[in-house]
Amino acid sequence: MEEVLKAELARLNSPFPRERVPLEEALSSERPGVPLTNGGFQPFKREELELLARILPSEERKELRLPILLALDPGLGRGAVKIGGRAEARAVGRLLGKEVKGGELVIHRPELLEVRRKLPTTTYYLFLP
Amino acid sequence: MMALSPTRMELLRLRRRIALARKGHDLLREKMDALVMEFFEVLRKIYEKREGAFDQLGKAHSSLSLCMASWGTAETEQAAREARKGAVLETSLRYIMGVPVPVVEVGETVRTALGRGYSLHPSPSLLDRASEEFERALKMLAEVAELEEAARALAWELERTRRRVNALEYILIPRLEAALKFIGMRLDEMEREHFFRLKRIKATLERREAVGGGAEG
Repeated sequence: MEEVLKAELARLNSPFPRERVPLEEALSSERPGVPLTNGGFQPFKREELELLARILPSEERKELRLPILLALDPGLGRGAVKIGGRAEARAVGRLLGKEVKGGELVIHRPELLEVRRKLPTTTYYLFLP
Repeated sequence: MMALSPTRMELLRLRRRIALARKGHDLLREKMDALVMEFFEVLRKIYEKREGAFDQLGKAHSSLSLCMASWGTAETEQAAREARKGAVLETSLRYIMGVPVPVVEVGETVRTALGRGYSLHPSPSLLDRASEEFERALKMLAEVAELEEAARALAWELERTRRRVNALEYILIPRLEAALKFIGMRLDEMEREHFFRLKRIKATLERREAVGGGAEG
């Protein structure tokens, strides 16, 4: 059982984006997306990129790196999600109509649902042990 | 009950195993909760899209019936046989928490009258309308198929994760905790036995000393 558990924990963040690309670069790309660690590709929908471009000022478009990581940290409590990075936190904050202080934002399940509804391909889950 | 040696080493090892199992349980439960949320979101979209697709298919069938009634069944079927078949679909995969779900990108399915391939001269505009309605329905059906496949993949992963969470919650963690409790109690007991033994040895030594001292005196 423990071997299964260890394998399961190793599988939690697999596959994971090999790199994160700035929004500006994704917008100008013909096939926006990022390569994954298993050799796959995570495509971004153009309408999501345009939505992010609309809500962010131009200087933050270079700073925002995609996909936005939604970090599930059991240490924060059940259903809490941490979004790191100043531009990423601001983008999500603007989507939710929440004010962001500092470079980090913590959201909860109903807000997570809204974020995933609006940005299904440009966000990615990250499990923090 | 697992085979256990009641030692301090085993106690420390068990504590580490419990900590790992609890961490795994918390993370897998988070994953399960997020999967449930994603699954129900996909289900909601399926209902929406399926309703739209069925409405569109209804419209297409009534256009087809109208065409058959006015132009004739045999003629309509002949035009259908002449029509070019096939649509351009691009499929790829995206991942939701490691679960591969399909992405189907459908190009423009509505074709021009010339692009359909049947003879334009005898065919009425009703046939063009019916074709157009079916072409619209095709795009919607491809979207429904994409979502249904995603729901299937998520449901399978959800079931798998739920089994792991339950196994941890109801089997592994309680078993490890019981083992920890057993070792703790056994070590306490051994300590008490040792203490009692020391007391007995001390009492015996004192007694011997007293007897020896009395004999000397």
